[in-house]
Order: sequence, then C-alpha cells, then structure tokens
Amino acid sequence: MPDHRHEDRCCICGFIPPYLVESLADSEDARVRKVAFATLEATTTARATRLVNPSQLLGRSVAPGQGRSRVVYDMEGRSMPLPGTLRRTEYQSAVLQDEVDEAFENAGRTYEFYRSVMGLDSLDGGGFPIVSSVNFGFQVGNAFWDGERIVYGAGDGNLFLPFTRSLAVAAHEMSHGVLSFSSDLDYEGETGALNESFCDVMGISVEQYTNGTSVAEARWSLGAELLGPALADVEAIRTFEARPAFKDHPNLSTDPQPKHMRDYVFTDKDRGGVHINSGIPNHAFYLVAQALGGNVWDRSARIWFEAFTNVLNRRASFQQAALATASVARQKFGEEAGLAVSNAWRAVGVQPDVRP
Amino acid sequence: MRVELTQSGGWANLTLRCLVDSSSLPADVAAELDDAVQALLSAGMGQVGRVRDAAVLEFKFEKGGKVTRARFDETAAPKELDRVLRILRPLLKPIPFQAD
Repeated sequence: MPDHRHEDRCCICGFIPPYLVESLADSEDARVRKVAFATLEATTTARATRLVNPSQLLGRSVAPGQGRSRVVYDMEGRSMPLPGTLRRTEYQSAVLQDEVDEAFENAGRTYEFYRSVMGLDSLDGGGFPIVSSVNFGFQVGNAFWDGERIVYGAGDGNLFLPFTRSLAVAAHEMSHGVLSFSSDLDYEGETGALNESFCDVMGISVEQYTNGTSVAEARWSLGAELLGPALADVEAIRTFEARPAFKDHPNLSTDPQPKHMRDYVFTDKDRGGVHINSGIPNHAFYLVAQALGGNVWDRSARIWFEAFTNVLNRRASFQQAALATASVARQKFGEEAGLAVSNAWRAVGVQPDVRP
Repeated sequence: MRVELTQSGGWANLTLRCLVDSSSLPADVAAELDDAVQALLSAGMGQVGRVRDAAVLEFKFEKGGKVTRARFDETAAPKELDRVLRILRPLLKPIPFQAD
C-alpha cells in the first residue's frame, strides 16, 4: 500500500522527542518519515517477547517488522500522559484484567482478519505495532484512534460500559490506522463520512469473520454491547439496515443517521456529521452484502477494502466511492458483482456511473 | 455560576448534556468547579491533530452576567478538562441529536 502518512500525525504525542517529531513530520518523503520512525523504534524499544522496562517503551514495545505485535497500557482513569502503564505485551498470557485482555484479544482478532482476508500485515502492511491504552480518563464513554494507538474509555457504568467490550469498536479504531497509512481520507464532511463508514464496515466485517456468521445470519448493527442500564431500552447505536437503530426514544428521540442522499444531514456538529452521514455508505455496503450473499469477507469487504485503501484519494466523495467500489467489484469478481455494487449505490441515491 | 456542557461526536455520537448551577453544589465542589473552569478557559483549545472519533465538548459558562463559550476536543487540554469533567460528567444525560 502506498504510504501517505500525514505530516501532523504526531502532534498530540508529547512523549515523542522533538527530534523524532521533526524526522517524522518535516520530511516531504513518506519513506523517510517511515524509516526515521522505524529506526527510532528499533533503538528505543524491545521485542515484546522480552522482559521490558515500561519507562523505556515510550508508547510502543516493539519495532515495526513482520508479524503481529500487540501492547496494552492502562491509563488507570487518567487522561495523561499517554500511553499509561504497561500491562501486557505479545506472547504474554492473560493478565486477568478485563479491559486489558479484551483490548489485547480484539487487536489480535482484527490483525488476523486483515492478514488472512486482506493480506495486510498489521495497519501499515509492515507489522506496525498495535498499541492500545485502556481506562482512559474519567468515565469516558468512547474510544478513539489518536494517530498512534487505540484509546479506550471505561464508560460510566450507567450510560456506557467499557468500550473494550466491543470487537467492532476495536476493529473500527484500528481501521482508522489502516486508512491513515493508505488513502488517508480527510475527516470532515462527506469524505469524513466515508472515513467513518469504512471503519464501521471493517468493524462489522471483523466481527462477522471472527464469529463465522454469514451475511444472512449476521447482526447488522453496532454498539449494543456498550450500552449501560440507563440505555438498556436502546437496541443499538447504529445499524446498517434501512431502519433506524432507535426510534421515538424518550431521551434520544430517533436515530439521526440517514440511509439515502435525500436525507443527508448538513451540520457543523461532529465535523460535518461524519458519524451521521456515514449511514448512507454503510447502507450501500449492507445492500451489496445482501446482494452478493455468502460471507461478507468473501467479496463485499474485500471490494470495500481495495477501493478505499488503494483507489480513493484523500478528498473522495460518495460518488467517487461508488465508482471505485463498482470498478473494483467488476475487476475482481466480474460483471455481476459490479452491477450489484452499482445498484446498491443507486438505491441510496448515489449515481455510480457518472464521473464527478 | 451556571455551567452547561454538551458532549457530541465520538464513536457512539450520542449527544449528552448537563446544566449546573454552582449555587446548588456543596461549597467546596462549587469552588473547585469555578477554579477548574477558569483554568480550562486559560488553557485554550490546543492542537488535536489526527484524532479520529474524539468527542467534542462544548461549554457555556455564565458568571456575573457574562457568558463565555468554549469548545474542546476531548483529547485537548487533558489536565484542565479532567478537573471540570470529574464534576460534570456524572451529571450528563442523553438528549436528541440536533443538527444546528
């Protein structure tokens, strides 16, 4: 995969020495940035199989290379400094701390999906260490990708449970990393909604792959396992299907995600509605999966992965995504698959056969 | 002092809100909130970089007839935000999404 790593990728990571930030951020050449990064990693970190000194890890415990390397840190309710206290590295057995072991196992399941289905060795194709920090902040009901690692909140126990409980969330956040090393889709407006949608699509695909559930058997919604007792009457956070995830809820009202372009939400919230309008490409993917049938990882997810990581550019529109996915489907799986993808996009109000 | 906090975005993208009048709080908590808010307003927005799925925190502070608004990514100004959120976060309730 091409490396389009951004210049500003380390700007929130205060633990990285200035000279490394300069090495990573100032070079115009993505390869130089990557080499500098790998060199520093190699000199400051130890392989996960060794006994390690947390003070020397500085956020990652292994040098980029071939193979899976996972590390989990614990923020213990703090918001800084990331990554926190080292809890588990590759080849170590479970530490019997739920959040740590869940983050570790879900990172492994996501790695396995990308390696086996997509032929990708970790997030960058080169064994990028998968670093997780759990128990971030005070009652944080969220998980995010900070440009370097997956950061999980433990929830408040009332609205939200620990976000480490969801494999789809882990895969979603790691997929932000995959995008950052490939098309590097912007995170604003329509392009941002594509960015979010790709991560939802990979999230649910990893879940189905891990559970061995077919398209017909699968649960096509996200987030149910994260909802605490105060939201026990909410079925899910969002769904890929045409129906809303929740409707006429006494507190939340109705799921705001549109599933068709006529309902596209124009807003300055949520970076232009990246988690809102992602409902449209999510639904297109669902329709493709239904049309192609079988297992989502056989064709549908592979089409999406190829188009989003190798064809789209960082300012792509929904229409360009439609063109790219239809084209990839046709090339990889024939005319029938291409037609199924085109029809799915048309069904959500995006014309895949008109070049913007 | 009255403080309104609205949280939006994040992976779940549910909107949460609370409105607190510090006169209803125990004196020590009210003093801590007042101090923490001043520290937060002094901290500024900060660079948030390439964070994906970070929640957005919007504050509206009213004190002595003056209204101040501030907007933070949850990864910005972690130290100052943390002080305020330790008081306000347990009070957040879900509300319907509003596009405007």
